[in-house]
Amino acid sequence: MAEFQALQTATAEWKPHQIAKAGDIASMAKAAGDLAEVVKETLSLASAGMEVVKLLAQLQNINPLLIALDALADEVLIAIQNIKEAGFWYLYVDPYFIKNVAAEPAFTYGFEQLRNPAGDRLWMAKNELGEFTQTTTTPTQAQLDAKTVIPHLATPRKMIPGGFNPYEGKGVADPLAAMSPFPKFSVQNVITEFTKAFDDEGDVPRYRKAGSNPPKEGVVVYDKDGNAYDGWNPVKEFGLQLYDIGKAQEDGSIVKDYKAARKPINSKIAPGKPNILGQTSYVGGSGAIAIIIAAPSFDIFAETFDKFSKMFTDIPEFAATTGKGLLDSLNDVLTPARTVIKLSEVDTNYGIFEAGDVIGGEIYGGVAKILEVNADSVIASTMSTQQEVSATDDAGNIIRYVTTLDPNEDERWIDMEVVGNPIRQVDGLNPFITGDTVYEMEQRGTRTDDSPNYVIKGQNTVGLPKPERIYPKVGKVSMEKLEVLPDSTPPDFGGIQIKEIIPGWGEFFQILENFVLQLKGMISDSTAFIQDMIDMIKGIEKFLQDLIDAIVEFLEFFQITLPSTGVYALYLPNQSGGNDGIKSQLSGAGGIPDLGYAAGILFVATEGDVFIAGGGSKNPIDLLALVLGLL
Amino acid sequence: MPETNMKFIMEEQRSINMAHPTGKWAEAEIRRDDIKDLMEKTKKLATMYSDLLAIKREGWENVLRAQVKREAKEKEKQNG
Repeated sequence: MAEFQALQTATAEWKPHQIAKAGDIASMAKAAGDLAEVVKETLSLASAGMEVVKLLAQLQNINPLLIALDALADEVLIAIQNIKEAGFWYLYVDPYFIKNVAAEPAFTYGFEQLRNPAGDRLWMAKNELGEFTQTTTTPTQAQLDAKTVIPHLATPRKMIPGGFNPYEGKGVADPLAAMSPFPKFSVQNVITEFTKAFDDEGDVPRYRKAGSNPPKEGVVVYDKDGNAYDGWNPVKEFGLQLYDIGKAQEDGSIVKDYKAARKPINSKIAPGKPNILGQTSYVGGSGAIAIIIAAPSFDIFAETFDKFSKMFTDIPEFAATTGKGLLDSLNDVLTPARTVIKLSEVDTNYGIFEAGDVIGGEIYGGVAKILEVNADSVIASTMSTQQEVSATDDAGNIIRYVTTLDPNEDERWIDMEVVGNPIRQVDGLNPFITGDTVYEMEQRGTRTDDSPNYVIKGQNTVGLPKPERIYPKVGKVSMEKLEVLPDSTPPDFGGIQIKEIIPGWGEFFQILENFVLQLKGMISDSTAFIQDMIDMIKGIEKFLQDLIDAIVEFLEFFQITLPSTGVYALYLPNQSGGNDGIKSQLSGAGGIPDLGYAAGILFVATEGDVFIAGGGSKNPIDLLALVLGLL
Repeated sequence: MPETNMKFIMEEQRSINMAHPTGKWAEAEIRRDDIKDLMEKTKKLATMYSDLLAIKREGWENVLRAQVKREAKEKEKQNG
């Protein structure tokens, strides 16, 4: 339950983003750029270098290759420029991994109602003689209100998630049919978060003074276009980037480029929601792409979400360096870590716990399947009690004294240590608390995700005569401790991390740089120098081959497209309604089912002054739509 | 059999618009063409640069061989 409480303060926030500007993808893009730059530089030196080797027959063929290489290096640089020049705001809504919104537990509490082995609820219906007899026929609300049918509740009464709700009009529907062990956050919840984020009045860009010597209070300052503002105060935060007036003169002449001469006097500390020059209620060009990952079952959602995150490791939340991976995090929900439970006073009269048994805590609700019993740990429970004993001597004096007894002399009660696989309940993973009584559990029906619904074994027989009663195995928790993480179970979610397939990028470019330097200084034609040069070229050739292999592997990974099942996209091309226009289109767009488990990301971009990517749009959102395959 | 003179006339070639609908949610096969494009270009660059280096290496190897031969000849000459 703690996990739900922890989520109550969570909020999704707008953040700035440039494609491929973060994480491993950014380092790959940088490396590609470095390669292109180095290649271009070495090409300019190539002809000089080839002078020495002009006796080569190959020389006549090399010029077209140099020209093609130069053009290709330019293309790489342009590609990097294109994907870097586009800036976005993004809003990431994730109830499961980053947990910046609160998923709702899908249950209500009520009295535990008995169920038959198939999971049907048991009712007591009044017959014509006025006697109550047991039935599985679901009553009508009128019958419940008239008390001609009453729920057959467990004895003693116990409040459980998904129990019988005695409030009027609430008792007919079976809560088990709607309960899930995973907290739910539906598609509609994600869309609501998307639209809500536009309404946050306080979510505006904030800039704080930068540098040690900002202008004094009251000095006129300027925005990026050179418009003047008064009211500057270095201790206050403002909503836009500001600059000083800049130098009036440079090298004895009047400054011609005021942009180059000025200095920023504040820096951004919060990006705020999408805005133009700090104005969040602008009327102007803006567009959006919303992507929602959604599935009706949690395991499918987790798989799709994991793939999605791998494709977007340039989004900081998904960057591989953030520690625990997304799937690890989701796996914690799917497959919690094993636990070791030390049990005491296990009553052998009712049986000894063994592998395969499901045990459950009576009060705190922890449930686990026993995987193994530590054989060495099984010993008789140490129990002692004191008894007053009276003895009469020959003279008739009564002597009373206290003696210590071992009530477990016959070793009826034993201690044991079991390794258990915790089973998630609808209210989360509940711990085994010291002192709680644990009982053997049995299945009574299933929940929405087909996971078993467990109840204390034999609880249906509590009211029956002793010979007909079924008694569960029983013990007490003496301690619970976490065990090692479980082995992953197939299918294993494989995958590569970019940083794993591009080892040694830094060293590679160091080699290339040295190579360029040596070419520059190449005057000597000594044998030793030429041999060094050949060795170095061989080294670079080998490295380039490794690089190509790595890229091939990387490309194979990126050949995968996300399965269309479970990934929904909404493309809102550039429109003139500003944030309000996006908000209304977002809330009005149809075509997506309201699935139970969902997370999403919303990209918003505002129209700029210039055409980008050499194309027909001034809004980077169209570029993003293109690269994501939506155009 | 009389000729029917029937011909199929293709007045218009229709193309299936594969683009994602705008203003409406729809399932999508999200791709990362930006990264793929960059990596493909980088791969091509690395391959071509390797080719260039191979040519250079061969050139230097030839130069080296010639140099060694020349030095050997000079040595021979000096030794008479």
